[in-house]
Amino acid sequence: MTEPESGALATRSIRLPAQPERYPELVDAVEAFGRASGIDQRPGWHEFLTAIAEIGANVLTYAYEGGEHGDMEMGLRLYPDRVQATFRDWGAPFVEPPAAAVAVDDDLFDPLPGLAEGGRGLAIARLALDSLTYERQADRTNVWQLVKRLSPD
Amino acid sequence: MNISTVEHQNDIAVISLAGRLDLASAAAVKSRFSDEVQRGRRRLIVDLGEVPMIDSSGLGALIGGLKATRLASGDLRLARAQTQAQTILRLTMLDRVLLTYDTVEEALAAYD
Repeated sequence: MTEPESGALATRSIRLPAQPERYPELVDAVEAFGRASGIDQRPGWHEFLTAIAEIGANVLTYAYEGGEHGDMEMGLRLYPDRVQATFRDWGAPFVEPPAAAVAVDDDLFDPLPGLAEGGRGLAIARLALDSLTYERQADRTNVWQLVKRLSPD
Repeated sequence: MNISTVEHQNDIAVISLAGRLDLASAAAVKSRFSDEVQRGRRRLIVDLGEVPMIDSSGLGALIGGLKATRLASGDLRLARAQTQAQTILRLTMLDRVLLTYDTVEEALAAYD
């Protein structure tokens, strides 16, 4: 685990090639962070893990398409009352043309799709979190911010 | 992901999974469900006791299995869902269509 940044109780970051094959590595890192920081049994942790898996899978699968290749970063930060994750990639924008951060809401994804076999990843993430935002920054970085409040033990 | 099957009477099979049911394993699990239905095991019980995490791809595999069994006039039911699995089933409201039992024995008895 990396040295905590100011105000954070614990932090962790990893950078990976954005390829679906790296998904187990990403989830391993999140689970290890939960165990090492002692929050993996706290109410809210499983919702956070569920959301992070969905956003992570999305970035690994869709950030770079059409023969393009690149990396993605995931940063995790634990605060006394919440846990946060930030995903960054430098591929295609998720939506055009947001210049500032936008909340991921019903305008950006389909609601839960009944008994379809796919298409519910972003809906799950939004339902599991207290806040989910997406931003396409001026330097062409895609940034996803995930926030989950943690209840006391 | 390890997948094992124990066959029971009355077209029932208990499929035990061990590992994450996710993007990496969902296709193999869905294929196993399909194989069992084609072999006449149209009433499936999926033992999730050793599955620490399910993602949306894993849910897709369970829904695919549910549809395959119901097309054959059967059903797919879950047993021993762990905390994260219960969380994602509740968030997606799929706990209303994927019946979940505390034990495999209870799931077997419910098919009688």
